[in-house]
Amino acid sequence: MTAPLGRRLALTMTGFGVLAMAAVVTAPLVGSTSISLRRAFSTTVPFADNPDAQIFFIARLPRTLAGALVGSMLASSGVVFQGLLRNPLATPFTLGVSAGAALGAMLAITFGWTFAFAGIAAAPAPSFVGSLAAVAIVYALARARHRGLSTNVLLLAGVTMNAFFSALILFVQYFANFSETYRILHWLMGDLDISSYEPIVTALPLVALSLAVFAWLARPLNLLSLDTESAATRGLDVPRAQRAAFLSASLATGAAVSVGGPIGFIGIVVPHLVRLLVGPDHRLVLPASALFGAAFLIACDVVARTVMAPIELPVGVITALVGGPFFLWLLVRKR
Amino acid sequence: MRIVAAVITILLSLSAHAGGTAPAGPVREQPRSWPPARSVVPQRIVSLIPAVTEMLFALGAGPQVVAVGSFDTYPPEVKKLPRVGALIDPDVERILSLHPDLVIVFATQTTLREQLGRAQIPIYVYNHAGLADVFTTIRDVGARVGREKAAADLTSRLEARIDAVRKRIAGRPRPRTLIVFDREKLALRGIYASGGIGFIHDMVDAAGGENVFADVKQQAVQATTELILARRPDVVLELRADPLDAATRAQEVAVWSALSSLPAVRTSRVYFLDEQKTVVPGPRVAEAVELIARTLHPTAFK
Amino acid sequence: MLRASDVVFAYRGRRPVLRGVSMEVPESGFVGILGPNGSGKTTLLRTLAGAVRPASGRVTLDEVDLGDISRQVIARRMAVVPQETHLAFDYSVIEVVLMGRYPHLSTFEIEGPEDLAIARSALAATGTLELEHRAFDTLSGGEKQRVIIASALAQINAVHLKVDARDASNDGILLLDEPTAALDLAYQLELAAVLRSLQERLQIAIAISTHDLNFAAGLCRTLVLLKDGEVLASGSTDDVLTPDRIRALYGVEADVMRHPSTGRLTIVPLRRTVETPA
Repeated sequence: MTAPLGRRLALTMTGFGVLAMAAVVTAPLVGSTSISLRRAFSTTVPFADNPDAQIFFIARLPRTLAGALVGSMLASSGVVFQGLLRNPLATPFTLGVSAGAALGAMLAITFGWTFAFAGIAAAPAPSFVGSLAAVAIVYALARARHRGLSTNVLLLAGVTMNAFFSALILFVQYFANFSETYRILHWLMGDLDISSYEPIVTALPLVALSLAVFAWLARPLNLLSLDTESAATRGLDVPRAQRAAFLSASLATGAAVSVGGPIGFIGIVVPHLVRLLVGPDHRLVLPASALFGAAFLIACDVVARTVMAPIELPVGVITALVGGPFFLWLLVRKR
Repeated sequence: MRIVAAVITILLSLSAHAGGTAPAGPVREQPRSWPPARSVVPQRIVSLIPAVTEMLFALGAGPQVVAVGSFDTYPPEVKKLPRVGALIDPDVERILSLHPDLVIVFATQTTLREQLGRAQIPIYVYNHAGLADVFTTIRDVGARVGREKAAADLTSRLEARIDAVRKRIAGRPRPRTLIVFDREKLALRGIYASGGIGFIHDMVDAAGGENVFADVKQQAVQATTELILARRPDVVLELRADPLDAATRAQEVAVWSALSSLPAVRTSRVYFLDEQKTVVPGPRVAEAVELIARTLHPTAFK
Repeated sequence: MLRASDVVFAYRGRRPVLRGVSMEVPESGFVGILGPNGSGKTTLLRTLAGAVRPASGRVTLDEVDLGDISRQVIARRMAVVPQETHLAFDYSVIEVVLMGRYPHLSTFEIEGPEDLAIARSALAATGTLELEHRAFDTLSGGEKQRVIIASALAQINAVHLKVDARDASNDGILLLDEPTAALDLAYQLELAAVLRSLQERLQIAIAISTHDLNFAAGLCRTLVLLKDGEVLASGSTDDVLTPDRIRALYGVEADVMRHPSTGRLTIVPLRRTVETPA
């Protein structure tokens, strides 16, 4: 840690930036079908006559971009939640956001509530609404007892929400028939095959806002690592920072889940790996996690759709297969 | 929540295999029909399986059916009958309270089978597979309820109808067909297509279609966008149990226009067959095969 | 100068912890806040630091109410060293000290060479420069304490950067909460030495809350005796620290004498005070 921060930041951004760019550029080139790139990019063949182009631009490219969006949002909001709760084991799903999203998606799938607008499929909008509801409840509970935001109450409220929503999910489960149950399961394991750019475009403003707030939060999160009092006496407006952290990370998670479903392990594997590489300073960890999270999920998705072609594994299974052993290794190596 | 998902996965994956897992206790795989067929004809039948319910009514055993599963809707008479649950949630108490002398169960419902076994209630174990099994089941069920002759008649009539269809479309080019039996509403996501195994595949095959996923030896295939674009179906057949109104059907068909390079889209051969007969492996399979054949080869039926 | 006037404070829904406390932290020198557990010492320190707002009464810095000064400006003048510091992530020592520079930087500004020089100077002042690149969590209790003090010094700019010692004086205020509670005897002596040398060189104001009589008596020229949220007595140590006062504060009979070697007041507790029937 001897090099000045400015230089380390530049190095980190470049290194991880290259990694993310490489992932975005190479992933659409790979797939279960072999296509001719020349034909895909041909300007003479009309799009409607060009299956190679359609595979590239409808099947693979939106999927890659969705992977980048979801991966970066889940990884960076994982970092923010870990900083907010002062616990490296916190995940974007600890506080009930994904349970709310899951309930929203389930209700949509089971009872056929469709908000099919702007070409977005049924589940995303209700799942986002569900995640907002969960966030609102947890936030209200945490603030009820405190002028500021008690992280202990936050944690308790989040865990309670998870349990409560899980019970509701079981209840809705009962009304679902075969096909609905299958589709819910499928959604729960993650699906980046969005086949259209609309979900990405719709989520983009929220992503941009979250990233801006995360950038601002980097140093406050460092201070919060001491403890809230020490952060306050060093001049940090602690309640404001906690509110900003909670709301931005929750919204980012909600957006990510509404695009690709609740894909697990990214929010905890990526931050841990990144910290091992660049140290604990959030000004490095946050951007690096966003970039590495994008690359990581894109890579997992490539594996998911090619390893057993033409059968496709759910991407959440791949992230779990990578994340599980990684976790065990982390636990074992800890002092 | 992940535990719930895991449990459901296990349940559903078990249902895809015949035979299920061995229950705790004495390890003994029970034969399809237990206890061995007696001379007594069942008078109080409970059927958890819609296909078998249809078979019972088609065989003339309708009056002996006292209760059906949650998802049975055909023939219309079943609407008045009490419901006793389905694959995941059979209501044992309700079933027992009806004093049945024959219960039709799924092969994977091991707990239910044990419970009925202990109560000494005869069961018939149903396995879900290909088209040929539909006829085997009709004959088996017919034997079980003392209507062998009706079963034989029914199966020969159905087989004859299907053969007639085969002859009609023989020699004609077989369009590459994508058979979708489930997906999200108004979006091309979560598409489940028929693989190369199962009665839906067999029906389309008999009706003169070439399943694009014939090489995948599974009943259901999760069809991703890339896969569909790569397989280039000439026809997209969407099968649904519940009817849609015309406006919704038009919207659902229009959703496919996003994949404009598909031959099916370019030649406007995306069809929505929203009739329950197409997804129930029961006595109406012959009608379903005729409907599918008419859709795939309209000129053969002028 | 930091002054508390008639401060009353209660945590939500509880009895008041501070019931009208008035005291001063002089421009330069030590003041000790002495009292038994539960007397309100830590809370008093928190109100002095501006971390909590009094229900009534005021805390003023140079006659301006703390509530009217921005958090950042307060932080540049005043730093708090808590009893214990537990890090959530494994920052290095230099990173922890640099966190003290937060109030001096704008939102996206990165620490520059001057900040780094200040941080290292602060570490040198507390004798911990050689620990610069160690992980904070691997240090001993005493070492951690000194690093946090260095972070506080960096925060209030109380370090030697100028060659000319005459410019070294500083109007910063250091508040320490029970600094000896978790320390071994050797570290306690070391801490007292470090604080004394810091105060001499930099002329900063240091307020220490403690229940350790001898530590307070050895270091502080003025004391504030706090019991049950009220000031029992305040003034110069020699005047205030008498056997009567100690009896009133701790319920203990003690000998107060001037130690021949150190020249400082030393308190030897003898026995608990027994209530004599009237």
